[in-house]
Order: sequence, then C-alpha cells, then structure tokens
Amino acid sequence: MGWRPPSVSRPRPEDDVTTGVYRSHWMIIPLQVIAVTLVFVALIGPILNTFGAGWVVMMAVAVVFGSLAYALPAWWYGTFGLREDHLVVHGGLAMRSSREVPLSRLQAVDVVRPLLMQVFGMAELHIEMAGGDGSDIRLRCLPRNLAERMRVAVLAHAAGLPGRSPEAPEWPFYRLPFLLLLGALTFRVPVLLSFILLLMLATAGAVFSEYGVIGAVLPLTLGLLRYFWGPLARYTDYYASLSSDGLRLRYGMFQRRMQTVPPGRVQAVRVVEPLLWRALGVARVEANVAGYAGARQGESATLLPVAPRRRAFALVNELFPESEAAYVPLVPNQSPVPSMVGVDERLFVSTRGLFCLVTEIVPVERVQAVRLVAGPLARLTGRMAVDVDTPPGPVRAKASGREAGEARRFLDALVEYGRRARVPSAGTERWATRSTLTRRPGTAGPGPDRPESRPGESRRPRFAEAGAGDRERGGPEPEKPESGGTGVSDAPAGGRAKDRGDTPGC
Amino acid sequence: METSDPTPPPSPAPQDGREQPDGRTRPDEPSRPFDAAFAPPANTSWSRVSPALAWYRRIVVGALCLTAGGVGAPLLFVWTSWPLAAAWAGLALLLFVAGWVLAGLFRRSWGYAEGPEELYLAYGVFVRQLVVIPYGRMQVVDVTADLLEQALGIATVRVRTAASTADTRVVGLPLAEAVQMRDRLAARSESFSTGL
Repeated sequence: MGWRPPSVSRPRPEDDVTTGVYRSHWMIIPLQVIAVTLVFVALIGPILNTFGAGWVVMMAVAVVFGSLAYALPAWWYGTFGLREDHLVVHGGLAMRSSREVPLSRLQAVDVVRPLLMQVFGMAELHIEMAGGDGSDIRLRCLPRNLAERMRVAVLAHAAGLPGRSPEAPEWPFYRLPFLLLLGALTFRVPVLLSFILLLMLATAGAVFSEYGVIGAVLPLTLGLLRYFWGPLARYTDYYASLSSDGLRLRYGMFQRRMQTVPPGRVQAVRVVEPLLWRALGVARVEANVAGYAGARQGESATLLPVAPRRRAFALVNELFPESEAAYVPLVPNQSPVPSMVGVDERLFVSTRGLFCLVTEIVPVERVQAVRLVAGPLARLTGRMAVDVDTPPGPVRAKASGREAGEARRFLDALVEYGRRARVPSAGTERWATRSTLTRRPGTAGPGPDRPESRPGESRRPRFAEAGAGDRERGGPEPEKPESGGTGVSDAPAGGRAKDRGDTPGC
Repeated sequence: METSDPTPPPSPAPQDGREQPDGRTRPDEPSRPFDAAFAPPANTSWSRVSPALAWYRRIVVGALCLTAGGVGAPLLFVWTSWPLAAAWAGLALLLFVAGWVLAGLFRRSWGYAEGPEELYLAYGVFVRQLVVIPYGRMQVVDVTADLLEQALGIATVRVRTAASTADTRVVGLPLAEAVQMRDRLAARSESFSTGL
C-alpha cells in the first residue's frame, strides 16, 4: 500500500485549544457580505435597472452596509469554547442562544472543507449529536489548524481523556484506487444503460439534425451528474483508517471531508452489492449513525463507497468487535421474495434482494425495538415479518415472509439475545476509559469495567494490526470456536454469510 | 415444518399461547399458529385497556359521520334529488356502523405486558403488530390526554426510542394507571439504561 504515516504535529503549548474562547475567522464577514450582495444584485438588480443603473449601485451599497451591520456583530458574538468536557457555543444576534453540549454524548465529528474554504485555508467542524435533525453543531469558517485541533480535543474529551492529549494513532485500513472507483461507478446497470441511451440519442440527433432529442438528453445528463459524477467527485482520494477513536474517513475532490465515527456509534450496517458489482467482487458499506439525521444521512452514511467484498466485511468486523457476521447461521424464507436471516448472540444478519444483494447487520444490543407485523393478507398466507428498529438511516433491517411460529421464535430469540448483550456498564461514552477497546494480547482479560467476560475472548485485539486483518480472516478458515455458539453448530441449509455469493438465486 | 429453525429458543419461552406455566388456560386465545405468534411473553398475560377507548373511537367516528351525513344529505336533497341524498345518508350510516364495530375490535386487540426487561405491546385489527421495547432503550416516556380523553378519564402513554419509526404508545389507560405506568417505565428506563 502506498501509504506513508501522516506527519503528526505535536500540540505546542500555545496551540492549546482546551481553554479560551474562539470564533470564526474574520474572513467570514466579507464572504457573507459578498454573497448577500451578489444574490441581491442578481435577483433584484434587473428590476431596479429599469429605473436606471444608478439605483442598482445605490441599493447594492445599501445592502453591503446592511449585511455588514448584521454580519459583524454576529461574528463577534458567535463564540465557542471548551469548558471541561462540555462544548459551549454562543450564537444568534436578535435571539441570543447559548448551547452547552456534553461531549461524551457525541456521535460523530466531521471536518469539512468545501472548495471555497480550501482556497482560503478554512474548514468547518461538524459535531453530530444524537438528537436528530437540528441537533448538530456547525462551526463554520475556522482556520484549518484550529478546526483540526478542536476536533482532536473534542474527540479526546468524548473518549474520556484530558483535552490536551495528542491525537490517537491510526492504522491504515483501506485506500480506494481512483481507477477502481471510476470502474465500479461506471459498471452499474443504470449508469451503463444511461450512457448507451445518451450515445444513441446524441448520434440520432447528430445524424437527423433533430433537436428534439435535447428533451431526453437533458434529464439523462442530469441523472448521470447526480449518480455518476456526484459520487465520483465525492469519493475521490478516499482513505479509511482505524484508530482507537474509531473509524476515520478522508475523501473528496472539491469538498474535502474528514469524518470520525467513534467506536460503538454505528447502530447498523449494510453491505450493498449491485448486480454487476458482484462480478467485480466489490461492495459498498453504509451505516446508521444516530447523529446523521435528515439531509446528512445521504452525505455521511456511506462508510466505504467501493471496496472489495472481503474488505467490506472486514470493516463490519472492526465496527462490531467480538462478533463475526460470517458465522451467523442464515435461514432462507419460503416466500417469493428471497431473503435470509439469522441471529446469534451478538448480531442480527439479513440478506435480501434478487439483483442488488443487500446484507444488513445490526448488533442485537443496539436494537431499539423489535416488532412482529402481520399485514391484512397474513391470515391467508400465514406469513409475517419481524422488523428490527434502529435509529434512522439507510439500514432498515427486517425478516420478511416468515411463518408465524418461526417469526415468533425469531422475535423471542432476538429479544433474549438483546437482553443478554445489553450490559448497563458497557455504554459507549468515554471509550478510552474502558479497557475492552485497547486490549493488547498480553493484557487480554476481563477489564475492570467488564465483570463478565464472555468465553472465547482470546481473539485478536480489536484495533491492533488492522492492516493485516483481512488476510488472516478472509481466507477459507476452519470453524473457529465461537463465543457461546448456540446457533452455530446446527447451521442449516442457508449456509454462511461468506458463501452467500455462490448460493443460487441470490 | 421446522427443519430449518434459525433460532433455537434461548429461553423456555412458551411457543403456544394457550398454556401458561401456572396451569391457567385462557379460553380466549385460539390455538392457531397465527394467533399464537401474538401470545404474551412467558409468565404474563396481556393487560387489556379500558373500554373507554372504544367509546373514544366511537364518539370520534360518530361525530364525523353525523357531520358528513347531517350536512351532506340535506345539501344533496336541495341541489339534486332525494335518492342521492338517501344514498349519502346510508353511506354515512354504514361507515358509522363499521366504525362502531371496528372500535370494539380495536379495543379488544390492544394488550400490553410489562416483562422483566421489555415492554410488550400487541395491537391492530387489519395490521396486527407485536412490539417489544427494551426498557433500556426508552428515551422519553410521557403521558398525553386530549380533551375527549380527559372527559372519558383515559390517557395515552407514549414511549419514544432513538428509532424514529417506532412510534410506540399505550392508548386508553385510566389516567391514574397511565401516570403510574409512566413512572414505572421511566424508573426502569433509568435503571436499565445503556446509552444510545
């Protein structure tokens, strides 16, 4: 892997961000004023121009001063700072607001640098909390190094460490080659069809000099921009790494993003394999994170845009330690829509889809609610579904088309496993103070925070040697004695999740 | 049929809703597997909700049908002919009767059971659901009662989890019971709490 360790900048004493009060860079004022003035001139300008150009200039100057009169105090009063492990954000001008955020509850931290911000050396810091839409905190237009140091301090506080601790070291996990991204994004049925259609239309338009084809070319082009160019620009130069602060993702061509998802914050994961991608052996990994609500779901829910299948499942194993999605026994259903589900004491796994294969994985301890649903036709067909509710996101796990008795047993098993897996002391706040995540081979044993260590815990430590992880795990390996393993020995015809690609009909 | 059982039941949960471990049999639980799937958890039985819930629904349906029939039929009679007005009134009456019957069915379909670590709910006439919410996953528990509910002396306990899809409520509880239940659930959600 052509990866060099990033140069680690030690925090200098004067770089200490844990005390003091900060505000956005003053550059935000001219940017806001220019933006408002441009919008005003573009919208109202043509109307004013009928009275004469002088009016346009005069009104524009008035708008400049008006927006300046707002932006300047708004900038001055919009401050933020760390108070112990709380982040205090002041804002608002007409209605002053002051938010104090317990950082131990944070769900994810993103540093975003849109193109314009990159030009000026600025960055945005997004701190996602679990409260859904509107609960996130966006600190805009920060100097880049301030944003980076703030991120480190925020994550340190969230991990339960002092805010001055240096950034946690990271292990490279996956770097996405540009050619693979380009190839995989092209090699999809809708995109290929659109390309072919576009070419045919363009040819027809050129040959018969018929301009009506523009009516069809335009929506096609827009669709391609959205579903081909969008992800391409977005995930260029994609790099994922693992640290004890969780998964770190860096990507983007025009908008650089650096996303940090702390351990235990991923509520559910799905691995999506479109029809043609299965021939390439690649997959996409998306996740439900409680902080990514509303519009940010689509932006941030993708953890791996394109990755070899084995890498994708290796990431799932990293996200849900001490469990193995591939070892959950799966059972097919007998309904026309094929799907397979299975549950063991750690994970709920379901796969479905005829063309686009979707594997959904939910740790049983993170299940919010389980529901057994029998629709109007269920009395006739005798089939019902078990829904597994998770925080909102792309993953909607369910076991559909199950017979009544089977569905109820499945629900009972899910509830029972969830009951055992939910340990009140094993919350995810302040993860660095818990011994389970930093376990090393020498110290493998029950930590002080985990009185009940499960059998079979002598597996490799979670975040160490992550780079070599899939090599030892991905190959054909013999049956490992799994922890507990009640559901493993009598694995039925459905097989293992790892062999799913070869099963007929999937 | 169960050659491929994914989930050997981890606990000796009753697979059949009829027989309770304490020997009680409940005659109102049929033996079909469909209904057995909606049986209460082990060692409990469904607590039923107040009959006032049925009256709540009947009053709402009745008011709607009365308004639609009482306003629509005379207007139709004035503007068009009497058969249309009669048909309209008949339709409103039919809807009212259907709503009346459904309200009773809906009330009887409701059941809740407080397990050791989960709250079980069962409800629905056309779409039957059995919802299991672990106490540790409850984020907000509140009691609401609108004007009509207040007049009938019932209230609704709403339970919210981090999953926005799970709009889980217990409707039609007597007010005092609802308040007690809210306090119980809140206390348990605190003691079983595991974070998000």
